[in-house]
Amino acid sequence: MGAPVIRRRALLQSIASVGAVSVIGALAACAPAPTPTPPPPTKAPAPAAPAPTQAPAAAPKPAAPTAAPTAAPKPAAPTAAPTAAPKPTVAAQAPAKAPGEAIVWAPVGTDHYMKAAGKEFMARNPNIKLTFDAPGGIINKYATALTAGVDLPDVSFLFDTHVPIYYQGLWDLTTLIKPYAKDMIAFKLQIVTVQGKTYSVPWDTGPCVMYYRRDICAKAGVDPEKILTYDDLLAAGQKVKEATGGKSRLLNLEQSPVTATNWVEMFASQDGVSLFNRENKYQIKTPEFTRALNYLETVRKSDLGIRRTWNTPAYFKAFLDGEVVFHPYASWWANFVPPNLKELNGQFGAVKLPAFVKGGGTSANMGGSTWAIAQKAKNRENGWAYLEFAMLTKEGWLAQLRAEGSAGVLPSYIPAYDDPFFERPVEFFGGQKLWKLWMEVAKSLPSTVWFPPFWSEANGIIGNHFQAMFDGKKTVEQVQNDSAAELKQKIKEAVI
Amino acid sequence: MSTHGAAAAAQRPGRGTWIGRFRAWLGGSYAPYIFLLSWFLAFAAFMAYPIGYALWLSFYSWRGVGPPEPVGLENYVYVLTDVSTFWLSIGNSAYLWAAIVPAQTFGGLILAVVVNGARLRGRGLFRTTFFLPGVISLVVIGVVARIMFERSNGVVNAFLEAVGISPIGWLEDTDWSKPTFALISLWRYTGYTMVLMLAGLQNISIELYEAARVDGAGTVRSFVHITVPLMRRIILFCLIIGTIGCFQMFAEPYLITQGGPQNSSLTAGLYLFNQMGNARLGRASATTFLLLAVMLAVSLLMLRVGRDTSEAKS
Repeated sequence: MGAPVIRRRALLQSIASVGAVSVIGALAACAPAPTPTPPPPTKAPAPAAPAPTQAPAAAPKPAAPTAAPTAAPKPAAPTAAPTAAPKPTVAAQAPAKAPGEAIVWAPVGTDHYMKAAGKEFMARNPNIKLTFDAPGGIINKYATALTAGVDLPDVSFLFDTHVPIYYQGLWDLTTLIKPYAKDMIAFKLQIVTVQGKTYSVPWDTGPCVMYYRRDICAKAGVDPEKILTYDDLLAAGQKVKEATGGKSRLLNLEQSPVTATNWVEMFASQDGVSLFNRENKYQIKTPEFTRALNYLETVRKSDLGIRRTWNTPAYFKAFLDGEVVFHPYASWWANFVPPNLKELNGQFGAVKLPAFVKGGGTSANMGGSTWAIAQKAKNRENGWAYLEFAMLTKEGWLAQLRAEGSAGVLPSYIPAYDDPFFERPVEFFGGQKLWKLWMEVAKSLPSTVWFPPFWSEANGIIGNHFQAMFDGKKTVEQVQNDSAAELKQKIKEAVI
Repeated sequence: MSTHGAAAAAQRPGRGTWIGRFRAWLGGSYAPYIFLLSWFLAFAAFMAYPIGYALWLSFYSWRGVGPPEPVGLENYVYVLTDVSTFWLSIGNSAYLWAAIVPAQTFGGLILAVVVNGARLRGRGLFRTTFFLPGVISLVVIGVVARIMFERSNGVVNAFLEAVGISPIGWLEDTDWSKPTFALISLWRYTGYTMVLMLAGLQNISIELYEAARVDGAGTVRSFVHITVPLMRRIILFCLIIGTIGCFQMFAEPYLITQGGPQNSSLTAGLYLFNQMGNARLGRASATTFLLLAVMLAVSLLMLRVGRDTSEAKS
């Protein structure tokens, strides 16, 4: 019997196959697998109030990612601020036991706040070195890192709306954050809580006020302080338009679908209605939304609106040229305006939002963000120690608020508001005590604000229908019916 | 195995062992196979595995973290029945294809013929100038285009107004967004196509044109009967590359309009990105394979239509 003949081509093919299979096998071993939820911290952090020397531990052992934070007593640091918050925490005062580090991903716009708090934190905790990075496209990068489970930062920025999507990759902070729950703006904690567990530390909230151009209002004889209802605002818009020969309009009817959704929601949320309620039911046909949409439709029909996309050169030029005079928007708008509209230094003012009916709600939220720690982060205890200081102590917040260029980032941690800082005038806004105004709105925000896990998808869908209405291609009723029908077809989790 | 190789292998020690026989059977050296194996390993790691994984994922619902949930064909059904977005994006891409690819291909060919002319002075300058947009970063193009085409303050409308034409909502009007992207793409890619065509033109023997001229053919006849037939393969290549580029177009609409207004500039590539942005990774994978099917069908159709029948017969 002759030896079996193996053709060279066949051998080559076999080698290639074996190589491919072995590589696939090796890579498959690295593929994301169902991640078991790690055991919760074995000990709850000690309540800070009665014992200022007790607090959640600040990362004693960076080598053990699953190690539960302990509540070991720590000596109080001599640098503890004398003007401390009513309940000083040890994280703010006690140096960490073991040396360690933490990597913080803070995108541009947030980094100066986080670095300011980080500097203060490192002065109090010299054993922990914080490294800050500001990657572009941070959400996509973080999502990829969470999926791969490697190259994760210890702390990362997230929008509130991302927590329900990525919560399975985030560290369960329920027990750690529990002692602070009563000091938080209620809805901020609720929207980062999924199935009863809290997965991130709320950062800022977005209290909305109505910004206006002082010079143009003065020229038109409009007193913004007397604009109490949206009907008053409409009348003011007509007056301004006439006084400027038709050049200046009342509002910018936002051109970006995503931003428009948030913006329209702002009007309805003044009366306590969000686009989705906590049962994920779509609320577009409620009287509050109908009223808000009708109002914006009236603005369009009265030729009192302009169309610009948020945060574009054309958007800022419209303000610069006085094409738009009033701007109901979130506090964080003040972060973007001074660098882009230096010429208008002192020309902006702000008042509370008008109400739809006299005595109606004037507090609304728009946007907001949070800081998360990945379940697989190497130094998550250090990350928590930093976040606890930065977000859950008055000293941490004051360090952020006093950062250069700070404007419009309002704490979700209520005790931080108990400081003369909020009485300070803001030069760009003509010396107005804007922090005080934002604070008043923040403290009275409706607790009904809610983002469902499918928010980003729904946002794009709904925003396109709003755009059609702003372009005069759809009526209010069509927007309500069409958006509901499209959501029903595309998002099975949405309750229509 | 060459005779020389076999002889060399036969002289090596160990010729009688099975290793020696194996080596001789391979042609006397392991080296070629080791070199080839590295390529196969890289291919498996960076092409075959991701493609296979994406195919697997297209049958699952997964948001990037946590365990994927098997959903069968649900992702494919979702995308195929998504008339208001997926099919709209395919329609937008088809529109852009019709507006861009033929003009870009034949525009590139004509430009190549012009800048290939022996009597043209400053050929190098023209070639560089036409090619230049192709090397500019898409991000820069996106930012500049957004400023230039802006309705109220853009330089394009300022020019139109100066000559008495009403401003156009290039990026704000649903009827104008696609033509605007077609203009931007033509400006950017026609020069690139020209360079490909130029390479093809320079392979055509000048004697063919001289013979045609002797036979009385003018410039147009030479172009139609010599240039176009001999450039068939390059033209076909440009058409296929252009088609794939149109359906994958992402950076321009993402940077300039994010697919708006009202999804009028939502391309198939941007639709795919949005699915990933919404952390619907299974759905994004399904979209990938559906788009692959569409592009494959269109490319095969082009190959079929553009095949060289004379070569096929011979």
